[in-house]
Amino acid sequence: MRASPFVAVLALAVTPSVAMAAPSSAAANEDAAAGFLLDRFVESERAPLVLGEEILGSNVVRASIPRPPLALSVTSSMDCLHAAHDITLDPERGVTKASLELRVRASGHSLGAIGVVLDEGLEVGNVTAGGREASVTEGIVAPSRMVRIDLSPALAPGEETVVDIPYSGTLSCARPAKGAVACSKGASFSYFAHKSIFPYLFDPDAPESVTLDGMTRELVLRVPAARDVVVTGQKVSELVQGKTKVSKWSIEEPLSRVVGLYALVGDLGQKEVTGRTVPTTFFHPAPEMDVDRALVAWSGPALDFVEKMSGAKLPFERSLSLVRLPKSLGDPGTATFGMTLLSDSYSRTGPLMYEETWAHENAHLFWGIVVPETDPSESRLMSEGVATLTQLDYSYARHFGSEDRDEYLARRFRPMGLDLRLHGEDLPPAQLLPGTSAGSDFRTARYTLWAYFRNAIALDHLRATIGDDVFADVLREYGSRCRSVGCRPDVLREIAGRRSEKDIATFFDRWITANERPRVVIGFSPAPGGVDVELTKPDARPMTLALWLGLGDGRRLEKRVDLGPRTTRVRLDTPSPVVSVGANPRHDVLVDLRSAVDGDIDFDGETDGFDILRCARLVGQTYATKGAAGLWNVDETFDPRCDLDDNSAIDDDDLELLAKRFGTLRTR
Amino acid sequence: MKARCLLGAVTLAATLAIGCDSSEKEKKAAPGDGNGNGTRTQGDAAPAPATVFLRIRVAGDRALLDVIARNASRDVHGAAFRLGWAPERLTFVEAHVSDAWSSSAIHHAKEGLPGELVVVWSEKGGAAGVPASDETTLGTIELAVKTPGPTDVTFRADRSTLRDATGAAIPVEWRGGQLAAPRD
Repeated sequence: MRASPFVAVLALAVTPSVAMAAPSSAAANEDAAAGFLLDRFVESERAPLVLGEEILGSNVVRASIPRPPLALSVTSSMDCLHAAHDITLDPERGVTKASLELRVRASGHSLGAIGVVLDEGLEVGNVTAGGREASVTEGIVAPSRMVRIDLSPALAPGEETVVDIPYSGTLSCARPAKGAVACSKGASFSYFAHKSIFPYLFDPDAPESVTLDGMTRELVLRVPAARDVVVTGQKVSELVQGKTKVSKWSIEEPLSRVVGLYALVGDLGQKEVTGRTVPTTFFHPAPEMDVDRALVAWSGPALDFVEKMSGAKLPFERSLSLVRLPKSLGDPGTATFGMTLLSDSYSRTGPLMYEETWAHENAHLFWGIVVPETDPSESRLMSEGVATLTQLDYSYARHFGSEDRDEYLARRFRPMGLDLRLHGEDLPPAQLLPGTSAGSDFRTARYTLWAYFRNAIALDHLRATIGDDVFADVLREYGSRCRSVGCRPDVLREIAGRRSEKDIATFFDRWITANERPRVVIGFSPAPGGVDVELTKPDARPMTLALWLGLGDGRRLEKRVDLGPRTTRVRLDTPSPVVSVGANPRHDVLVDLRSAVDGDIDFDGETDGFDILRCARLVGQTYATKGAAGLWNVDETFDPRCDLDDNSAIDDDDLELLAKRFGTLRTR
Repeated sequence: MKARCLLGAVTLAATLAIGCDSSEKEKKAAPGDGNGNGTRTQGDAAPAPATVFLRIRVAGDRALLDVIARNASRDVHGAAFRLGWAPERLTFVEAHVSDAWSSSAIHHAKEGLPGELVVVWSEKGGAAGVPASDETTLGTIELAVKTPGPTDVTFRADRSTLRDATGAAIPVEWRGGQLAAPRD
């Protein structure tokens, strides 16, 4: 069997904080990205979308799998219901003796085989399957052992059985050719992830399918008594029996079989996070670093914020574990059931972004774990999208609260939008439809643009469209309805449409299942007691915009206007004269908003020195794009409105274009 | 009008909108203007407000309006303003930036509507701004006098601004002026 990095562990990722160079060439971007520590993780995360080439020719996967992957085209019938893990581990030497008792059902169509991935040093013993014949085929894809267990007879649709899989040996914990290590041993902070002591489960006949099954787990880990241990899940008990510490953990809420499992064993630094009703413990490798104190201090506010935004308490009533990973592991972090992990490599991004990333990762405790997506290969809208939105909102609440919130959000999304425009124009929409190809070049930077930027931009545009309060209600209802059972983007559409009483189907048609940036031209004329506004767009499909009315007394009014046909005329009442009519700048990334008067970039209906002054000081600026670094950019000053010729540079040509209509004034 | 102010050899006097007397006082109070020689009067105790005002000279059928800034708290990277007048009395001819600006500064002026002049003078990019803590002429507007006689020239304060290199507004009062009747 040839080597393969395959294994689609669904990871809920932090974004790569890389400054990927060479803007002019996607290939160069990839080269630059290849050397970046965190890219390994994103490569792993996007694995559900892009199956390793090699695995298709292995003796484990026999089915003919279409390439490139087609969303929803191959659905697994493997419905894992419950797993009981019992693992005895010597973390020093990696000696392991374990069993997995898996209750599994065939869903939709028959299930003839179960796939398991372990560390190559662990061998599978005598597998039983509730009276069925269970034949084992193995192959090594260093450093993993891939196991196919064929069931005979196959499980008929709706039928279930219990498969007992014993395995033992000595972990290799070798570093793969690509990707992060699955385990480390013999260290004071030893790390054991999915694919090492915890078998990763997949359907060999539909290996790309990561459709939510929803399984619960019990985990028992037996380690030497002197060792500290923390495992994914809620802590049930810990007791010492002779020379052995028996640590029991549980995952009581249904979780996707592909969500990662972790065990950390050794001399673990531990700190209590105060102010939380649930026992919340922060674990870190020795020695203690300054970032440990910072992460502990940020944890309470971050978790509180996640719960506030979600409108519900996190369902971990017995314990919540937070972990700082050493960068030497090459795992930037993730969230899983009752556990958040983040690498200290992020400390180099500075305290603001480290804290923000911590908020992102903790947001995944809800968005992606407790509230999963039905099929992460179809969409990351309500996992990465909401987590990214949460991190931006969190930073605003914590650090930028004195700013205008709309302006702050517009500023944060501006570089993300520019990155998308420059490097992601051809990326698929937020929701992949059946038959949609993710593309074989769906590399790290492009994945980041798609999963993080596109989704968060679309969601913020949605909430600017329907209103923040309505959106908050939508989020809460979605969270309540989709908890544990998972949802597709269609559910978001239904809830948002009902709660907003807007035509959200068209919103989805434009910005979720397609990538549009329609031009909307805004004209206005002051009228007694208000203003007459004319909005023109290139099609007759509905759209809603939050208009900003600047008043002569300095105030700003926001009014939502439903646009119908190509030209919509509306009279808006105002308490004082109107001097400008624009739109909430949070729409800017996805709507090309223009004044009806060329050169009027402040939307006052005239071209004067204010328009020129906004841009003159920016002459010489270019948008120094770094692939997909926009999320890490909190103070971008490049103003796309001043880049009239759209060449990512603000220069004399732009000023000349502005000046062409200089002095165009509204007749009074 | 409280008083006429003779400026050089011009035959028509110009006043600030608030009166020529106050213009003279402010001018004298401005530090370093050469009039006070470092001495201060009681009126100097309070800091003089930052102001952009007009100094108007009329020669024949032409009026020259110097646009002057003083007491600006920060260097002026850009100035945008609108001037208004009775269109039946005056019309725009041209505008010139002063040599306080760099040679690469932007300068546009247009009478967008009859009697409403739109002006912008600005440095570009990272170029240094114009120091205007002392009285500094930013530029000059030339108008043609269609009908002699007193007439006001006013700034439209809501569309007039001085900006520093960060784009922040520099607080300033905008004071127009008046073309006075010619002295016979």
